[in-house]
Amino acid sequence: MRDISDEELMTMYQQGDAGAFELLFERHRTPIFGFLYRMLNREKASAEDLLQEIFTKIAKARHLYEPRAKFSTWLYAIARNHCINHIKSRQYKQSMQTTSLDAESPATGASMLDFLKDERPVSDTDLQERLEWAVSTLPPTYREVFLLHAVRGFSHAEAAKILGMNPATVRTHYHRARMMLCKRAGNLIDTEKTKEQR
Amino acid sequence: MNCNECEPLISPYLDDELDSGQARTVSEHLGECSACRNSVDTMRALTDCAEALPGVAPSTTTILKIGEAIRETSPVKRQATFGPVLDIDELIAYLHIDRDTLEIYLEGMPFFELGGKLLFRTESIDRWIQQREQLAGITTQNVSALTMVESEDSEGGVSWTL
Repeated sequence: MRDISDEELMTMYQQGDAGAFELLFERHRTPIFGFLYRMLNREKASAEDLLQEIFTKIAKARHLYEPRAKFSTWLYAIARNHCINHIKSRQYKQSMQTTSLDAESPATGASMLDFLKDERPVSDTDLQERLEWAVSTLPPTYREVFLLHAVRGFSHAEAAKILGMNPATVRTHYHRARMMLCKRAGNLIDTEKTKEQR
Repeated sequence: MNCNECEPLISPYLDDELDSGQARTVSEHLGECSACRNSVDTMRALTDCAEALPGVAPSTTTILKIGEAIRETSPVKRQATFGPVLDIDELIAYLHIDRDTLEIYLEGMPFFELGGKLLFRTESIDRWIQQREQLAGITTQNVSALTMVESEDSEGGVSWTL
């Protein structure tokens, strides 16, 4: 079962094999949860609720999947639309954390101001945390493109299918997202250290 | 080219998306401008970091809830025909029970072992079912008026006779 493609597993599920869908869930749950988590400003509880809703939705809509379509693209398109609807909802806007410099990170409890005041050399973990913070400050349109392409590894063409956009628009959003990230977190990177590591 | 013109081109330059003319112009500017060179290095480092961001897993509770929801939304697959020999999964389907229930009764069921696998002759299982039916019929009557004798049948199973 483990060597079977996503598309074949989904076809098996359409024919009644729940185990096939459980395997699909096992394969994709961590990366898709990471996408939701970062789109929702790292609010784990909201991301988990959404993850549950998304997979329940897919289970009920399995008859709509066409095997010629790449499963991961279809999955992420559903997840992304669900996520954007949630972000636009009044309930989410009321509960959304600010991503200002003095807001505490849910992962570390420290704020970005604390990091900026800290004069110790930047560790890889610190850099990741700073990048996570910078990503959380991106507008959703740029953030989703950055997460899909740079973090998840979809090509621009695949991201365009997921987002229902023109590939050229995806590229533009991606380049703008990278520029914004550089402005917000780039001064925290020791480029000499990263050159040595390369 | 000045830095303001170079800045928006750094990202596509890194991804080899500029045409040859633009790429050459950017390269020439980078050769002369350490600030923009630093921007290129920074953007490259950030991209590398993004690719290496750790995966984030949902909680075990959520994983179990979703697993349960998947099973609830799926139709139960029933096997239509059974052969003369059943493995454990087929036996479970044959008896319309789950694995936990099978474990309760397994000890008293007729089986044989082959290649480390527990197997069950359908005919023996049918006989076992018949014995259970008889037992169920007996217990609805006045038990004190009856005597039951336990004996071992030819296949090593247990049977009751009145």
